[in-house]
Amino acid sequence: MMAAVAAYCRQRQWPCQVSLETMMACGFAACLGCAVKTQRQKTGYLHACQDGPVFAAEEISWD
Amino acid sequence: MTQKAREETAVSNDSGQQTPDLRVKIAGLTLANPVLSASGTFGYGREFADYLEVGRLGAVVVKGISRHPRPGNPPPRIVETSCGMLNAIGLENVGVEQFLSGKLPWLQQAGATVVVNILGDCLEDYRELARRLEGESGISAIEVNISCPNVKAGGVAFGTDPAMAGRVTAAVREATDLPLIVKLSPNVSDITVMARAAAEHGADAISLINTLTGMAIDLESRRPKLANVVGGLSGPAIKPVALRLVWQAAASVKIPVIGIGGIMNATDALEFIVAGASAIQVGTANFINPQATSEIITGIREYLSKRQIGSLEQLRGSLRL
Repeated sequence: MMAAVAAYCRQRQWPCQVSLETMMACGFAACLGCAVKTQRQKTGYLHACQDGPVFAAEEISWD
Repeated sequence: MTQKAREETAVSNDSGQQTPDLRVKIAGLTLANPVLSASGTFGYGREFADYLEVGRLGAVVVKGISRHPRPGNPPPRIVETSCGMLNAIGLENVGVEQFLSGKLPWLQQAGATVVVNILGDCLEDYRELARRLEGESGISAIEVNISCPNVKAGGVAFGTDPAMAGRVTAAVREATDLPLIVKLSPNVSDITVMARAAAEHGADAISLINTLTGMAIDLESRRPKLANVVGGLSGPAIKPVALRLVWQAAASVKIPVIGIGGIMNATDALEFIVAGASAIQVGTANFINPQATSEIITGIREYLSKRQIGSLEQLRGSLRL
C-alpha cells in the first residue's frame, strides 16, 4: 500500500512521506533488525527505529 | 567457610556489612562482576546510555566488527517465536576503523571494560583484525565469532569444524597478546571437541552458546519469514540447551567458560555459574528490558548476600550430582 501511494505521488510530483512498520526487537538502534531498503545503496540500509519510522518516499527502495 | 576466609573474599561497605565479592578473573582480566553484554544485542554500548550505567557491567561485548563495513542482510531480519526470536541481521557493522574512531572513545569515557567481537570471511580477516586492535588503548579483550562461513574454504562455518576452529584460534593468538575469548557455536554434534580445539590453540577463555540455527515459515504465502531463510534462535527457548552445553564444555577444558543463552534474570545467570561458567552474557533480554544487565548484577549480589556466600567463585561449578 505504501509503495502504491509513493508511486501515485511520484507520478504527480507530489511530495510524499511514508511511515513504515517493520519487525523490531529493541526500538533503539541496538539490534539493527528493522532494516529498510534505501535508494542510497552506498550507505546500506536505513533503520526504522532510528532513521524513521517516517521517511521521504523517494529515500525508500520499493522493489 | 571460616570467618577468616569470608573476610578475605568479602569487601566491606560503608555500613560495615560485608558485600559479596563478584569479581571474576577471565583470561588475565579481572572483571568487576560476571555480567557481560552479548555481542549483537548491545550495539556499541552508547545505545544503552539512557537506561543504565554502561561502565557498571563486567564488560561490554560490542557488536561484531569486520575489517570493512558490512551492510547486513535484506529485511525481514527478525521473527518472534515461542519464548524467543530468530534473527538474520547479517553482521551489519561499521567496520574496524569507524569502530575505533567513532565508537570506542565513548565506551572509554563511560569507563567500560570493552571486549571487541571480531568476525571474518577467511583466516586473513581474523588475523588482520587482531593485529589492528593490538595496541589500541581501551580494549580489554577480543572475542572471536567463529560462527561465520569460511568463504575461501567452500563456506563451511569455522565454528562447526574443529580443525578450522583451531586454525582461526591459532591465527588470532599469533596476531595479538590481548586476552582471547573464542565464542562457540551450538550447532555441532560434540561441543567438547570444539571447546578443546579452542583451548589447545591458545584461547584464554571460551564463550557459548551462539544462536541455534532455525527457520520460520509464513503459511499463507508459503515463504520463509526471514529474507535470509534461516536465522539464529535466541531467548529463553534456548536456555536449557545452553545450560547443557556450558556444563559439558566447562567439564572438558581448564580455561574459563562464559555462559550465554536465554539468560533473562539473576536466577538464570546463577544457574550457569553453578553449571561451571565463570561469567555470563546477557543477550535477547536487553531487547525486552534494557536494564536487564544492571538488574542481574544486583540480583546476583542479593542472592549471595542472603545465603552468606562470600564470593561468586564459591558457587562456580557447584552443581550437585
